Amino acid sequence: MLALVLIALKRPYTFMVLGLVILILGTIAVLKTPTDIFPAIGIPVVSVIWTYVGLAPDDMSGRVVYPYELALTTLVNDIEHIESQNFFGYGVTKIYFQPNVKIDLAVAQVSAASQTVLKNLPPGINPPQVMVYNASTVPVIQLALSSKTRSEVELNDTAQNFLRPQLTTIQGAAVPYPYGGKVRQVRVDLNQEKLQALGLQPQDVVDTIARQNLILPVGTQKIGEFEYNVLINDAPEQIKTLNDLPIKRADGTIIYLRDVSFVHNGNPPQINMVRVDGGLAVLMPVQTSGSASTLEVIAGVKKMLPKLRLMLPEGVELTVIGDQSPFISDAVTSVVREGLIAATLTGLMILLFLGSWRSTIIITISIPLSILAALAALAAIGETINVMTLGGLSLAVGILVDDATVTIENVNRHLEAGEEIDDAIVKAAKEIISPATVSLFCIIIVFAPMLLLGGVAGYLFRPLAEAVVFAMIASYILTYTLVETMARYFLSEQQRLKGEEEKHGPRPRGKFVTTLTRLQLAFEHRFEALVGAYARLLTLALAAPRRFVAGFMAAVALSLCLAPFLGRNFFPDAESNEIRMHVRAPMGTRIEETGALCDRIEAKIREILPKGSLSSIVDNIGLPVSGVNMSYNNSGTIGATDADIMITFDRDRVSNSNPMMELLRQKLPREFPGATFAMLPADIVTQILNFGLPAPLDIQAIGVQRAENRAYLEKIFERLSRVPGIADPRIQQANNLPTLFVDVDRTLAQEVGLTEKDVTLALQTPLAGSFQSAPNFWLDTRSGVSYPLVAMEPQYWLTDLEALYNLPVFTGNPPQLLGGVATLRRGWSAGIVTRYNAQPSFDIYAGVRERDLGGVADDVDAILKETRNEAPAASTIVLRGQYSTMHSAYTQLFVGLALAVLFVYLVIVVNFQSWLDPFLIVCALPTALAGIVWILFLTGTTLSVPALTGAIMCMGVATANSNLIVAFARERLDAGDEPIHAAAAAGATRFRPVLMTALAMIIGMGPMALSAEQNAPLGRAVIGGLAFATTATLLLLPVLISLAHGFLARRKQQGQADVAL
Amino acid sequence: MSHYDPANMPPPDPQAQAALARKARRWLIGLAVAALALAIWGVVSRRLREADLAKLTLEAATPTVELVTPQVSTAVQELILPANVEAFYDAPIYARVNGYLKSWAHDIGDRVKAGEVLAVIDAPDLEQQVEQAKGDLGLSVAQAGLAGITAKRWTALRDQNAVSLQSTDEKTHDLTAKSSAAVAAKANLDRLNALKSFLTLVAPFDGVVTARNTDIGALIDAGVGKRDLFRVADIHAMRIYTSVPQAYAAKMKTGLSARLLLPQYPGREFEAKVIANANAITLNSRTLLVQLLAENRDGALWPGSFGQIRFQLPPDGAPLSVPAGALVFLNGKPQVATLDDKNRVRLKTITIARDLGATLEVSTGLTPQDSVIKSPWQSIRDGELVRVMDEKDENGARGAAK
Repeated sequence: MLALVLIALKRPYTFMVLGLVILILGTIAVLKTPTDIFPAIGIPVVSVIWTYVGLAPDDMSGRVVYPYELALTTLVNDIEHIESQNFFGYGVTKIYFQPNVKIDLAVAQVSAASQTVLKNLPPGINPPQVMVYNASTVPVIQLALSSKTRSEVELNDTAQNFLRPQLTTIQGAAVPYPYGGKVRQVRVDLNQEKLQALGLQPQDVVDTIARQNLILPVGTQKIGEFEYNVLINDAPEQIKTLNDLPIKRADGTIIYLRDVSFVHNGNPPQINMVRVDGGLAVLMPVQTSGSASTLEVIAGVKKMLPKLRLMLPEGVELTVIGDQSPFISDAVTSVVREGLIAATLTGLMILLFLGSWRSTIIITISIPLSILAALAALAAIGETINVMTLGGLSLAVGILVDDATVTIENVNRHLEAGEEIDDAIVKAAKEIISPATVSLFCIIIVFAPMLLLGGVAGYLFRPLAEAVVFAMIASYILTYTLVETMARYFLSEQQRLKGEEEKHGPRPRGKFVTTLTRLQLAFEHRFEALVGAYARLLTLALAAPRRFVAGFMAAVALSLCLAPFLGRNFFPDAESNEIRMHVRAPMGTRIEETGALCDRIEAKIREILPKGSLSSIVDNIGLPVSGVNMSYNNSGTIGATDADIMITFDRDRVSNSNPMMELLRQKLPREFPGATFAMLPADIVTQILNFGLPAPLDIQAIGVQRAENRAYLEKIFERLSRVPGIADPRIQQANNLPTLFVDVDRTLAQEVGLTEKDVTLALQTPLAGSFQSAPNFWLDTRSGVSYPLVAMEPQYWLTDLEALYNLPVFTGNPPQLLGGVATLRRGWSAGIVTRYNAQPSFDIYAGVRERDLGGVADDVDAILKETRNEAPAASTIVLRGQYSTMHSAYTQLFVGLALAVLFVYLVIVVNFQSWLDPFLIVCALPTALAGIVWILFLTGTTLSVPALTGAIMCMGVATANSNLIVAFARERLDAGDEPIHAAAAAGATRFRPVLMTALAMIIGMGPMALSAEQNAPLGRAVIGGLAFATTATLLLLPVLISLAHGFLARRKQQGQADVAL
Repeated sequence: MSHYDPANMPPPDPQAQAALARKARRWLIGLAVAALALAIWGVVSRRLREADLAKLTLEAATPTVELVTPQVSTAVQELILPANVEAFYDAPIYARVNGYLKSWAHDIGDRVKAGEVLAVIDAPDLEQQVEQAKGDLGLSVAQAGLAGITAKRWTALRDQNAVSLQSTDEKTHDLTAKSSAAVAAKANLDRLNALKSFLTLVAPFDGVVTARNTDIGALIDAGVGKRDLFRVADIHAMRIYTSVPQAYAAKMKTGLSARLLLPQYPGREFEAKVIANANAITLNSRTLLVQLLAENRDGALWPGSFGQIRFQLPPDGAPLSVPAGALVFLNGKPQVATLDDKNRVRLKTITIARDLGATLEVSTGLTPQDSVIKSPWQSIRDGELVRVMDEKDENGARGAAK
């Protein structure tokens, strides 16, 4: 390092260039690095989506997903755990991998595994869709298509087939299938009556389509000098010509498709409906994929809007909703703003303390350079610019100045002693380098546990720690390079001017400067008085050391007793101007009815909420039409009975939706009995932290004893819902889906010449459609889009139970009806079946209202422990969700912090070559914790990971400060001072630098602490912790030194006396 | 820069020191009191908030329910079956004579009276056969006359013993044979004359010509298994045949009313009544053939139509009905959740008499006074406390709507 200092002096341009390089690289990094709200959460997950139209959740689980999961466990490596959700017609399996897995290999293995089981699955099933899934992927912007004149089919068709392919070309944009609207299909409406009259079966129609509408190329023929392309009319180009496909010849006439059915442009029964402010619409969410910058993706979408609008059919409107970019840029700019304010304030403080604008400039130049260097380093290791890294950098601002300040001050001291500039710099550096290195080590070591965090917390907070560490290292290096170079120029000039002034009297100065100078002098004066007061206080404390230490420690211990009242959260609540509400109508409610219910709920919401506060209400009702969307769904939707209602408030009127949410939570359930309401996190932050779950608490029972596990959860449900602060508890796995069981009397059926298969097929085509068993397509030659061709009986013809009884199962002579060979039984079946590691699982989801997550979770945990023996012994009963992430983060941080303290202790032991002095420093650390507890307690802030990060930071800075005191005291002791005097001298001499460091940090954290951002607890913790820790450093530590060394000295004397005797 | 040096410090003045200590102590005590006050304030306010929250949570944990009262069911269950519509009488008209069609008088759709001529067959060979038969008859009569005279003569001669008994017997029996031959020839002539009457095809009863399978000049080939020439149907009322699955067979009592729907008359319903059933289940289809009768005054019903017959199956007795959504399945038994006067849930096991899809007919387990929870939740249990939905609000909203 000293070599560097010499280079800085001998070859000054080297580090000026270094400064410029940092400036350029840093600026490039800032411009090039993607900006996002959070660091990418790279937990490797592969999502596998099975589709089989009409398959019940139980069958999807047992007959498709379970065999597949078994194959996965043998064929795929590095699986952490497997979760699956089975809906009506869909099965979504998510495979969570160990962090070290190669995701490409994982995807390949997962795909291969699906091929091995395909033959054993229900006939006609397609291979699954396999995709890399990221639970932190949430919609960043949504496009809504609505129209007064166009049909829902057209809206969906436009979105799906024309807009979506365009959007996917935006770099980093991932566009799932559109929500809502009606999917365009070519429908063959079967008329059972007509079929019966002609003695035809639905299957005959399906067969006819398969025989008459084919996609088989015939080839070419060479005639003369040309080779002709031979095309055959095997696929009708017009939909209406499909009506003319002949089915059979009977009684001298030909029966056509049109005689028993009607082929037309249409849609399958709607399963997903979207309404924007009451009007039917189609919603296209855009997500980010990979390492793309959220802001860039949003900007890309917005840039494409004019082009997209041109593609719209007339009468269709395209509106943008749920744009997350203001939120993200707000978050980012506010962190940047806080950082800038912090840097400015710190600069002013230094100016005040040093009274030299030249010194201040040197220091303030080093701050942005350190930050730019850190940003460049972060970009180099692939981190994005986000709230976490920026938070880390603003955290670092306070300590960044420390290195430079101490160096400059020391140089000044040497200059004042009349040394030449070069000598002064080298000497100053020599003196400072070892304590500075130790402080650097201290701070890096306390942040080490954060670098080792695992899971979601790790992905979130590692960049923060990295930012701090990089900035610290950069600052450390700059201090011994660029700062020294600048000092050489600026300070020698300052010294020269000073010398001139001494010779020729004061230079003429402007009025402003004079005022400032006077101000600074006045400050110096007051400060001297403060030092004097401190010195007297310290003397007082040193006079009664035991009482003082005991009292101090007792106060600290008592303060820590307040800790249990703080409450624990994973992350502070984010303010949002949105509410996301999940509504579940009574199970089995058809989508039209759910829509009507949403209508009434919306009306009620508008009645309850203050007039004019609403910006928009968007309902998303039912199951998305694609499994891809199911994969990304984080609201817990299981079918047409479920709806997500997104309420957006006018940003100017309502910035925090929590009071509104509470209002709705109290009123709505009373107005709509039978419906269940759950408030989902609307803000992107909590959605990411929930990691794909709809609620922060997930009480899960896993095991093969399904009925018993379910019974257990239902049993404890009532107790759980009475835990204070629990919000919207709900059992996710609805098992009361109204179901009609068709019990075919196989013997009777056999007697009349029917088998179970005949009956099943006779039911499948009219009820589920022909697409699953006999897929067929019709190509729209004009647009080039291929649409499914599906035969099915229109649902509106089958409106009562009789219609089902009266479905023909055989249309020959005499015909047979379903009611003749089967009985119908009413019952319930599962609306969704989930598995965890291939075992059936049940969940109670719950949120938290007006209480800390930790507190609620503890109460829930207590109930689980108390009732554990009521659940089957073989079952696993666990509490998952954000809580478990929080729990593991807390545990890791506490253990890490303890280890960090130990390592810091060891480093100082090496530094001081003593076991005792470092121990004294560690003894003073709990004071910082007491300060944190107090400030959080008084500001009503709960403990959270940011607050803990603040605690870690405090440990680092407090240790660094304490080092200074101990180092000076030891110097004096070595010089032969009495311990009591050495301690007093250490305190008084180091008062200024210690206070300066602490103040710089506290001022730097001020804007953050006062903000409503999620890093506010961090700022508050640092302020409270450092305020207390500095007191301990300045008062407690000298007393401890005096006590300990006094004791040692007395023992030594006694030993000498003993020897003398 | 203040460099503290103990050597430079003035020696501590005991008095000043003591004063400072007192001042410090006062400050310390003040600080401690302030801290304590803040701590107490913080803890108490938190406790109060928690108490509020507990109340709020408890309130939220009490579900709100909407109630329905069971209604006496008057609903009829429909059984919908495919049916064939047939005429009251349906007669295919066949030719009894060979020949060519000479003329026809009525085409399909014509209403005819009994005995009205439908067509005339031209059979010239039949005329010749009559002539031949007439000749045959003359011959036979002549022969019989001769035989009679001869027999008379021989009988008289026998009385005189002029001829042998043998030859006399020969002559008398010859007369019998010849007479019989004459009778046979007469009968043959009559038969042919009767056949001649078949040359005109007539309507057997009042009805409608539903088929004409011949035309002028067509070769008519008489006999069974050949094509019918005309079809006449009596359609003043129609017989409707349907195969009722065995499961419903017992309900097919005579007089059971039903509605007939035809594809050609969407929205129109025809009344029909069961008039007979086969009293036997068909072996190969396990169905009961049921015959219904529908009046056809305006002639809208046409024979051969395919239709849908909708039987109106009445309820047995007057059961109570509840919405299907009120059903709870716990322990595998159908139950409904009712409310007692303390707003607690009471589960009642019921017997479902009939499932009508949207509603259920309950035969036992429920009284008309019960308050049934309209949409019970899946984890509902006995004794659970609930809150009844605020009716006032609902009425108020309705009033406002008016």
